[in-house]
Amino acid sequence: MTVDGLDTLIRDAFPATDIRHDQVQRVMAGVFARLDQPQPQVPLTFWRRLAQLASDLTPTPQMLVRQAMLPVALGLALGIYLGHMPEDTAPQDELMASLSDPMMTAGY
Amino acid sequence: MPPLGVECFDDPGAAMNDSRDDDELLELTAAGDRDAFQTLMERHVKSMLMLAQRVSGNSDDAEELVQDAFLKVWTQAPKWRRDGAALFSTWLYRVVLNGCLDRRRRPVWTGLDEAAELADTAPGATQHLAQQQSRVMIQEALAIIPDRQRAALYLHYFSEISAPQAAQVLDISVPAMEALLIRGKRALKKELIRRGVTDLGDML
Repeated sequence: MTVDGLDTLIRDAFPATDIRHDQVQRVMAGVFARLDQPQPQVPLTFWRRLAQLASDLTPTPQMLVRQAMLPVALGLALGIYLGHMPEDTAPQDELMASLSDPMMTAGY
Repeated sequence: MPPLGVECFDDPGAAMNDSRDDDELLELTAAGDRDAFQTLMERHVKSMLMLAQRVSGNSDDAEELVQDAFLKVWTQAPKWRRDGAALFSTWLYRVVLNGCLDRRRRPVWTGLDEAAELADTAPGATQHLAQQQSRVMIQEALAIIPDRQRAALYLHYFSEISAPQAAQVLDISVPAMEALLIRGKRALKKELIRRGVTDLGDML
């Protein structure tokens, strides 16, 4: 069987059918009927109420990102600034002097 | 608004002539505008029914699937992003297709039983019976191949959309869609051959 044969086989077995107007009407009427159905009320138990409260108090991920953006950016800027600050090191001659200091050489 | 009944849906052409695009209608739907929702349905219900009917194999299932899809449109409309990349029709095809795939996972295909009840003397009964048998065999073979390949084949054979649109429905590129189709056709062909189908003549 060639690929073309497969195409023919499927198209013959499943011919395009016309959708009747009454089908369209039934679907649309069905959708509106289901929209108009009263929604079942779920009893509000203690745990459900607690879960609802928790979900109300928990911000969405987008909100969390928005709220965390400023502190993170400030921290980053501060880190970069401190990272680039000139180091406060002792001059070379002072270092040499300290190595020859009697305190350092005591015991030798 | 008048009570909605069958008499309210008598002018399907009106939805096509409506100058508002799908996004505008969705925005209005999100605000609870039933007229806009009705126009949206009138515009897309036929193509969705066509796909669902050919995939599910019977009109009752197809109608239920399409109803579910439109109810989803009603509930999801407020979340629809107008500036998003996807077209509404693409998203709707995806919803209907997924519904069809979910339903097809349940073994409900009863085509052969129905075919057996046909009166032998009816004109074209043999032809109808053969077509029914072909349908059952193809559906059984389709049920065995991987979901993605099956979805690609459903869109290719049973919907009226182009290959780029079908690729969007499956959220893949056009070359990926073509590759998926080739793999799907190969797998389906293999499965049909395993079932004894060598060419069209064998089926009829």
